[in-house]
Amino acid sequence: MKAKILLSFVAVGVLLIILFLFAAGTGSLHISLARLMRGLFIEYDEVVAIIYDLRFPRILVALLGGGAMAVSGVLMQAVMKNPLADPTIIGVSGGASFTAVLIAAYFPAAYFLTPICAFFGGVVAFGLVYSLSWQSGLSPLRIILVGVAVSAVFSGLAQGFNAMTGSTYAGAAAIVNANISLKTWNDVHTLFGYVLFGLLAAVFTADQCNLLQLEDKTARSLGLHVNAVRLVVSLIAVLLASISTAVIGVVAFLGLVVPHIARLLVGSNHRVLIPFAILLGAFTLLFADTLGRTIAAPYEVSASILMSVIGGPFFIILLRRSGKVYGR
Amino acid sequence: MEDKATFRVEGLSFAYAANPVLRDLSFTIPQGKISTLMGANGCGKTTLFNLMTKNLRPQAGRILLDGEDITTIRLRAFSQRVATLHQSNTAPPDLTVQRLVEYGRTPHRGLVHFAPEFAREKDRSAVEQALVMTGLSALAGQSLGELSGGQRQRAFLAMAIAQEPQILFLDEPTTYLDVRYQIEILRFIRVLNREQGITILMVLHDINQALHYSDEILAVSPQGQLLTQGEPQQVITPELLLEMYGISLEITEFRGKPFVPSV
Repeated sequence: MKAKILLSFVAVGVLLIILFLFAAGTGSLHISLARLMRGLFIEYDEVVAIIYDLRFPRILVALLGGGAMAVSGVLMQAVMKNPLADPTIIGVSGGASFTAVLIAAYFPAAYFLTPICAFFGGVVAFGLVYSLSWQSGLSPLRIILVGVAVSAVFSGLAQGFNAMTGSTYAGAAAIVNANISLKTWNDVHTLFGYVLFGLLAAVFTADQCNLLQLEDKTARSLGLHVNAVRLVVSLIAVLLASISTAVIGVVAFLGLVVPHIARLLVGSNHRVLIPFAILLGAFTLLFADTLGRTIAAPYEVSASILMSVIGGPFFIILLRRSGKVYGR
Repeated sequence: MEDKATFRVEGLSFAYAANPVLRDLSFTIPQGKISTLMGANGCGKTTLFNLMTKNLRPQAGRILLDGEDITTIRLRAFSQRVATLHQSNTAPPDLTVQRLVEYGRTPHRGLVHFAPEFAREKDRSAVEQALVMTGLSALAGQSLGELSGGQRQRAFLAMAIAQEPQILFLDEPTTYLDVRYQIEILRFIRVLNREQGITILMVLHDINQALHYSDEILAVSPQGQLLTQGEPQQVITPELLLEMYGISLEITEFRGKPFVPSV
């Protein structure tokens, strides 16, 4: 198992570096790796400068957002003990995108408040799903059903408000469509602080996440304040999902598919699982984005569309297998 | 574990909404002995357990650990002295026995693991001892998904032992097990009590297992009142059984202990 874990980290790490270099060099401006390196580190190169301004933010946003969404999924699955929990299914992304769209469309001057408001929207959606599906315990099925409903309402609202502005506000439309092609270094900076904080916090809750996998009573008999821990871990998960939604929009299935593949590769120990999910999530979203902009160049297929196309079938496989794997 | 803790319940009452479950319950758990709570379904045994393990808060009365009200004892300090094994346990199937038993050290560790070497050495020896006592040393590297039901329950028992508690609560620890594993677990519990002097309070479904493995019986009425407490030979009578279970049962004897043919 240890060898498998190490191999998985190395493999994904190496693939991530290769993908990064490929993504940086590929597109309407196509340059060689050598020229890219020269332009970045040795002497000014006009083409590299353009790539640095336009393509690098997009790549970094995909990496940060992918890692954040994947870890958010890991944490939600841990907190709800539900293999099907995921920030988009639960409605957190919907709540976050709705508030982000409101800001972008109606209060564009307050754009700097977008992350905070998106977090607020995410918390409201999560609170709704959690309280509405609570019936002396959380039934996995009820959470998903209530989550689907809450999610539908919020994404409907987001799309509706976007349409009412004539879809003229690029910022709002980008969130609704999860279009990350026009991201700037500002977006990277916004994302970076929150995501770094969220990911560090997530890594530090790994032991508590492990204990949450036991029965609540058993975890409590080990001295764990189960409800408090659950609340804190939930808030971290909502923060990560909301911030990335505010910047990259709703990307379905990322928070579901990546944690499951990660678990298959490195097991369920959160001390290993969370760091690995960061890597794999970053890789997956960048892969989807890069594939999306090369597959039918010069046209772009958004990363969220690719994630849906790939993630949908995967989700169905999970649903069909969940009885065997999770003993329900 | 030389210093045994005293555990007392005083005037404990509890109700779910307008539905009283426990009424003015008072007793002391005898130190260093195995005691078993007996009573019919719905008499409040589980509620009592939840109250005594800080899963619920008493509405009236007090629960005292060494004279201190447990509602004022911090959960972590409480879990250093009191461990609980529940009837059903879930865990990720790829979790190894070793790591599960290490979870038992959580109360002594705190959240950050920059423990000094002597503390880590203590953790290691406690885990190893728990594995040896439950006969799981050879299975330490196995994952829970590969174990039988009995072995799994033993692994959770080992986790509770690694907590090095003064008092161990067992809530129907044998319910989902075959008779072979039931007896195996009960024998482990007896060895644990005799060799380590851990005070044990358990709930058992099987009347005869309760009578056979217990030093003392606490009989609870269907109304949630304590009927009697004492050694099985002295307190078990047909009248008591009728009062507890609402059915007339005969009592014979088996190896010097009362035996109730429940057929």
